Amino acid sequence: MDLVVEEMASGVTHAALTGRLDIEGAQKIDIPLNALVGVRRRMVMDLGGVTFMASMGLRTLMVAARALSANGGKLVLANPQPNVAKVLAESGIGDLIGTYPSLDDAVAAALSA
Amino acid sequence: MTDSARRAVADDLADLRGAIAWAEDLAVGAGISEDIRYNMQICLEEALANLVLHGRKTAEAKDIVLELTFAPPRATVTISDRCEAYDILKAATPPPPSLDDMHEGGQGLRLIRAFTVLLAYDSDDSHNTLTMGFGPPSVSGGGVA
Repeated sequence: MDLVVEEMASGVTHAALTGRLDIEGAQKIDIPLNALVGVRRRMVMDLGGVTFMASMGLRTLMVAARALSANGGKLVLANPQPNVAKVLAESGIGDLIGTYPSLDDAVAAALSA
Repeated sequence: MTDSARRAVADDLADLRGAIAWAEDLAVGAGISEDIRYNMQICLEEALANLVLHGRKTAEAKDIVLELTFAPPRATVTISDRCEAYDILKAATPPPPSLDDMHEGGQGLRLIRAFTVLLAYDSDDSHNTLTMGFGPPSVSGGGVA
């Protein structure tokens, strides 16, 4: 599981995840992601490279969304692959955080908060 | 044609990826579709992680054993263990997630219920057995057993 972070011209933080967001993957990114959401306000989590997600991955996203929300910021999810989108939908977490099929739509949503 | 295979699973999160990869390879070879395999992977991770993280052994070891049976387009996963019984069919449905609620628990249970077409649990004095069926709903004849 890899996390690549980029600051966009719009002021939104683009965080791209790649790999399996299973227990092992979630354990690998939890600490760097927690550090990141502590200092950012508006973030798009790009899930285009995530090939698998289970409940520990959902938990990681929820913790990040909660931390940003508590600081007046916002996390939105972008570009999930179909099977990952299925997990987000079934859990209700995709709708709760906000999931968008394109990066542009996700950035617009992050800026609208 | 029906194929089956068995594998012991260590009481260690580090063995989960190996167990799931083993199941995935066999399912590919058996001709199970990608969608069904994905559902199987999710439920395997949830069920095995639950045993490793929360299962309280009732013998010297948890003795977790994974058994797969393939009858395309269906796949059936049976997980046996020697932990205190946890009947997934009787467990309460977790509340919907909330950004205000610090408890994320229960998502695994929600996913298992969503991605299986058959779910059964049996427990006797020595073992518990969780059976999860995967396949297209139209040919499953399944549901909660």
